[in-house]
Amino acid sequence: MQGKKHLAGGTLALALLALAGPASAGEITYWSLWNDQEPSAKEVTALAKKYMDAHPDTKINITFNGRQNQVKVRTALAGGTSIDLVDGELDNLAGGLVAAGQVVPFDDLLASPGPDGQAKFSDLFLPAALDVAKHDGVVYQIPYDYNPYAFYYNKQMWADAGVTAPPATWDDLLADLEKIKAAGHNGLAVESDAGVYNIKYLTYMLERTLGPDFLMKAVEDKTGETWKDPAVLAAMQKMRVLWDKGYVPPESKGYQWPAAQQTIGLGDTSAELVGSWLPIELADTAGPDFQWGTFPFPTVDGKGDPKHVEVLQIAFVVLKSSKNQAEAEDFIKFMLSNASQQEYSANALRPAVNKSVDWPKQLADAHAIATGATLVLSEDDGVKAKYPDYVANILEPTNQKAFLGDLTPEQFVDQMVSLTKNYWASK
Amino acid sequence: MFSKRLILGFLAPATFIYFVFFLLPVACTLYISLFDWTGFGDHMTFIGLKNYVRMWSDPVFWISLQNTFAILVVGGVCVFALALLFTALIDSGVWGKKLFRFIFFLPNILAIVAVTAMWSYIYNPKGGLLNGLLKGIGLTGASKFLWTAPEHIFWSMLAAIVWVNTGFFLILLLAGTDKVPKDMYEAAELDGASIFQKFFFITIPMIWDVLVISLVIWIIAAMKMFEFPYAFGLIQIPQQLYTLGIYLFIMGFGHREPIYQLGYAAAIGVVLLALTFILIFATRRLLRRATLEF
Amino acid sequence: MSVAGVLPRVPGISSGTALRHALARAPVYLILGLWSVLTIGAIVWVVLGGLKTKREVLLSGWSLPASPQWGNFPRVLSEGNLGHYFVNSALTVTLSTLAIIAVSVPAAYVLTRAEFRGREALTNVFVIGIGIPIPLLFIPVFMILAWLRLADTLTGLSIVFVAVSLPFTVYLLTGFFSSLPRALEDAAAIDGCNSVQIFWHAMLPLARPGILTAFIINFIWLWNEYQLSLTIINTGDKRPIGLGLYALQNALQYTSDWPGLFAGVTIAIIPTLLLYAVLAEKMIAGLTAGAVK
Repeated sequence: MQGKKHLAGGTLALALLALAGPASAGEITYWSLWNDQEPSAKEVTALAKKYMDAHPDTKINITFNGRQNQVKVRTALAGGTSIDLVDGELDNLAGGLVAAGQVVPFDDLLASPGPDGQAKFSDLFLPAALDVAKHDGVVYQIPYDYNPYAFYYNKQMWADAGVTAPPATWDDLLADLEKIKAAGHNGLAVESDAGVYNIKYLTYMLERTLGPDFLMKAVEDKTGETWKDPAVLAAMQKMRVLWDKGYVPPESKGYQWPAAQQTIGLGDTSAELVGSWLPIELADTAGPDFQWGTFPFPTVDGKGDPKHVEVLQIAFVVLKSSKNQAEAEDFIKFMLSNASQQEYSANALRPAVNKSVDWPKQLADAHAIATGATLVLSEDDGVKAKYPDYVANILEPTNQKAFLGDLTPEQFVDQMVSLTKNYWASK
Repeated sequence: MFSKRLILGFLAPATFIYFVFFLLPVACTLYISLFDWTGFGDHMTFIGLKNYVRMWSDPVFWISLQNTFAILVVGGVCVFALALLFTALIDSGVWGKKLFRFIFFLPNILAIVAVTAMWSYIYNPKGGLLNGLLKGIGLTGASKFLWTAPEHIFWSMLAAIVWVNTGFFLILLLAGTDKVPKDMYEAAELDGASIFQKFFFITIPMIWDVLVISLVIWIIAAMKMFEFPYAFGLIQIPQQLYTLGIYLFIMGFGHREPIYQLGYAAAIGVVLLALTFILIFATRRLLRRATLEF
Repeated sequence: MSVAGVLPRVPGISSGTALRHALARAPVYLILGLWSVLTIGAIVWVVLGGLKTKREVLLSGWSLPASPQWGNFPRVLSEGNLGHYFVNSALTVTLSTLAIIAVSVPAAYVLTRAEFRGREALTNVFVIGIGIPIPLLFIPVFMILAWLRLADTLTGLSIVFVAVSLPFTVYLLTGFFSSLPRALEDAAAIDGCNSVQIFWHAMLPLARPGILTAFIINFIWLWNEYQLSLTIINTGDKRPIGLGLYALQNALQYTSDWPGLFAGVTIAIIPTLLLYAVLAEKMIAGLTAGAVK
């Protein structure tokens, strides 16, 4: 195993050296959202070192700030610190640095040749991944980490319960969950305090039945009346069926993260609607023999396209105030190259956005979803980046109350209407 | 007795540091609260008192305020009742006073994230300690209780907050009771006073100053309550746990969403500060008494 | 009669009386004992957690680990760089706490004992500071530090630590000082001591419990704090241990490294535990040896 690793490492190093373009001088200050101990941080550091070895005139200083990265950047910029390269969750950056007009556009960079000889840099990305990195039609972010939201499930448990293929429709899903229940297991894991996860049921339901633009329309309707669309009521009613039929065990209402997802790792529960980090996160609890499967959110009442995927991406931005823009952009290209992304994906166990790169074996099904996607949706269909306070104060909490059974679906609709009206009235 | 030079010399370092590195930033915050500012870049839009007007009709602000007051009042009553009880018990001449004093303070030295992780484990409906205990002693009905369900999570968190803080205030009160001369107690004992009589008629009056200080410190801690709910809602803080401190943070610094409304957050901060000040002022006024000289 | 200290307790006369005494106190011991079990249990839980595997931590609470993962500790020290952060904190927090005391004690003394115009107002100005939520100060404080070229330095962080702890410490100390009897100071004044001598010889010894309390409380909260450090310190090498723990906490959603977090917390409590153990004793020792006039 060790020998193979060294061989692979050596090959990669050669490949990377071959990629090394003309040496560019400069110092890149790179602030990252990873934490020091995370495998991603170690990989990014290793890749930066490789880049520096190939470009002796360039120095890269990385600071790993953790998930508060953008806030730290904000403070530092106010104090006059110079930062060149920043990474973060795509929707967070969209609502922060991008919306504030503090980053450079990437259209030229993306039109230039790719790091592995592609005609255009933009060719190497998974389908539609770059579409959500746009602001007013211009791309401002370069993603490098791609996490689809889907159902991640225990393949063995499903097979044992008699489910031969993953469900294509919502009714299929209910039938499959019924089989799981009959086999004595819990169907779906739900954390009672994870508003960010539970909202996916609603956003996907609405996207399937009413299309990807509905949510934004409903949020932007200052009268709130768009929420009265009967499909919204139907969506919430369908979501409650999961609880009523016991596919979500009743004690889930009291599960604080990570209690619910742990039950999957321990073999009590079969699936969860969540992002692709779950299999990696549960690796220790679930053990090496756990077989992970992934299926996209199904069609509902014959409506919707399962090739529409909500994705959480991690992306690079380069600050307008940077004096090392060219160096930073060159480094970005390097990071997105086949060799770099392959190493990143394999060592950090992350799903890479470069379409030629394999994902960790637990995410094989998820990779298929990513490569076959026809439309990538940003989180909450774009609402999170544009109206983050609406999502935090209205959308997620109200969804939580209804999903967890403290509001009836009718009350849910009424509250969404009145809260939306109030939201706009106070602006 | 006090020369002007002495007064200035003794006060200068503290006052200087305080004014430059604390009050000046606070003044900036007051200023920011009159603007609409994301914090990115210099573009600040003056909107006057609009942030405050918006707060008035913001239901989430009122939820946060309500929660904060619940922590203050209910939490405060519980913390002080327990702290005073333990003070009385420990001071009643038990063996191991030093040991108890040491043990009771322990939760305060632990990083808060460890304390909340432990309480999450205790409250876990399926494998958790509390429900496990209840099942073990035969209360199967109660053992199914969902302590951290949305309708109960606030009170469960409050219980944990009380648990952590009791030790802290106990130490403060004990530091106060240590100043009380023992011969007063012995005189009372000779007269046949019970533990609680000694407590109410000697200890409490003698430590009144420390008690008031402790109350003020509690008011401030409760009003600012941020670290505990933040750690308790590890992945995301449910709205049921919002306090003014948390809401301020979420609106100004984003948590899971990119909400960067520093002006509004500053306004919440100003309101928080004003409320704290009013409460402290009222408490000190109401509980003021001449210092006991003995 | 003026008494400035406390008399030592007279021990029980015979073992029989002591036993009856103890039995009568049984309910007291029961209550205190129960609470003690709860609090010690917390520490045990955390320390045990640091010795488990990821799977074990989430499964079992107080049960012993199947095989203690001692490796978690060195791992978190090196990978999490906690060893280095520990040293940073040891220096910064100790110096800051000493500075806070050095600066607050004279100020509190003057604010309680001296008579001058604006005394009440100045005290109130200090006290209001306690109510200010710290996140709001992040940007302005950073800007001020940056202007002074103290941004991203442990010195700058120390100054901010002092500034932020001043309101509480001044308030605590003014409260303590105002409740201390003036008898000793009056006596010293009559004896012809000047103000500084009175302060040093008459006031300070009496004020020791208050000062020690302020020291302990400030040390502990500064040791565990991470918000100001997160704002002011950028370079990884300069991080205090609070930030190290925060990073572990922050990464939990993606690493599930609970054992690492608990190991880190265990390492972090050692100095505060020692400090409290040592100083709490000194606090009491200082009292029983107090001067009696």
